[in-house]
Amino acid sequence: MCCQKSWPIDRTTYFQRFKTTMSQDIPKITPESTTQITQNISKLSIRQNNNEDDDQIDETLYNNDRTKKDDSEVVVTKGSGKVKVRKGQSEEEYSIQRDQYLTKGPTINTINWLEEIDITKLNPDIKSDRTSLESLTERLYFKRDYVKCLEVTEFALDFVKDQDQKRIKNEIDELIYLQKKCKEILKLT
Amino acid sequence: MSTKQITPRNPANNPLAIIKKCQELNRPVFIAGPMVRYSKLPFRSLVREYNTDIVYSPMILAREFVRNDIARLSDFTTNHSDSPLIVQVGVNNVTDLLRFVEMIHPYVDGIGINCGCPIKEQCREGIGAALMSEPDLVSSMVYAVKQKYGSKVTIETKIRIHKDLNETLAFVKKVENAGVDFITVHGRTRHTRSSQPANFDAIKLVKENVSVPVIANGDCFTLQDAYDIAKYTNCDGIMAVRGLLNNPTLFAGYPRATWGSIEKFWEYSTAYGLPYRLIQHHFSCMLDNQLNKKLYKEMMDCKNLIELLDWFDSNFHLKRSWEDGFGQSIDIQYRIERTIHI
Repeated sequence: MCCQKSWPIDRTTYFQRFKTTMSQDIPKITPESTTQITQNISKLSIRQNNNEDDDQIDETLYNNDRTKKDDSEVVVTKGSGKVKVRKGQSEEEYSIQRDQYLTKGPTINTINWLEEIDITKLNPDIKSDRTSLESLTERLYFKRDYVKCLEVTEFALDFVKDQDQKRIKNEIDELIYLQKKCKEILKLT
Repeated sequence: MSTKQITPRNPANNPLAIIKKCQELNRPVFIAGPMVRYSKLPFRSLVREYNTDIVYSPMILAREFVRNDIARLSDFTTNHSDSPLIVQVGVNNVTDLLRFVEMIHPYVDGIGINCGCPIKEQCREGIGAALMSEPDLVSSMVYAVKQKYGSKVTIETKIRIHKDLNETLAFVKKVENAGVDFITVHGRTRHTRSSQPANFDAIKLVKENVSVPVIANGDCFTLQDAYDIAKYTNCDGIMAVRGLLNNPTLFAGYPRATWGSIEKFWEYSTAYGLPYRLIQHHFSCMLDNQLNKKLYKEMMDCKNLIELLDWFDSNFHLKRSWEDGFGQSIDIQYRIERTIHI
């Protein structure tokens, strides 16, 4: 993903080169093969005539879903060859999720959203709340507001004190590091 | 902030409207493709500042999204500036897709079905490139969405090519007939390595055989590449992915990530919030081949965000958004003049 990739130096021959390379692997498209494809799919050409009545569309052509339509149960084959059934979701279960999401909507992150959080309403048992608090401390440090950063960092350390310390060791280590850095800077300034 | 500010969507930001506008301007649409983990809100905001017309979200698994509020929180955050936005979905059945679309379509400008991701774990679940051998299932999914929503939902499929291009042509014809609004073609097969050149002839062939807009994906690392590929394939748009990760300013014509883009990414990633390791990875890509080895190693050795920020501040002039000249510099702003040995 991160590898630096650039075009070959000789850009003028680049297109010719890949054409040559790929043509060795890929069957040529001939007018005959294209015609065959067109014939094979002609029965699916429901959109070629814009005046065609939707009622006349043969929906069976598009009924290729191999899952149970009502609950999305799916059978998959793992790499080991084992067949696994992915459980479905009932309409009732889905309705709860849908109504919850469509009422609240997605999380909106504006430029100031972290600084607008009421940190007294956060729940230390919820990871996303702890993450928001940590992001706020980082944002304040980035903005060089070291006094406020130290204040929120110490709040955060107190906030997580009843949590399983081993489980959130990294979070605590980062907060302690941040506390130390803020104190160092504030002594200097 | 209220969700009223992100819905209803502006029709001018519909991907088809953008494609049409660019056709009138006689230039390809510039698109930032989906990247697992990396196409999060801060990166999307960044590339929008550099001439990117349409931006994709990372692939979101429909199955998790419709079942789990934690997954929704983790997978999708947005804001009023996050448009035009296409959310890419990993899905293997009609029911999950219809539910996903119902929940998310008010907050996005389009939905893209991922038929190209070659990651084994996803393929084993029948998601991503596994769908390249399931043209009928993909057609069913597209058809189901278009039957329910018509033009209210713009739906795209991002595909790879087959070894036998006849299969690719049959595939795109089927999804076109099922009602897909546009198609993105990555000019590699499921098994082609990224070190092999993309097959632009195959993309060109697809473009010649469908009437819906086609977007070309693969090997776009500079603005000139984008124009060259568009000219060669006659496609309506160009999608860059790895190229943009290394250089988010690509579509604005800069040859490498500008220092201003580094400053802006700091601003967005700390304002919106992004896990440290992702931030570090973005900088490692953006500054790859721009820093000497010693500095690059120091950057990669930083253990947390504060350490990384202190390292930036001690080595460079890293302006904040309230400072004059923020986001404007092209070259790296060293604190001390250095001889660059990359």
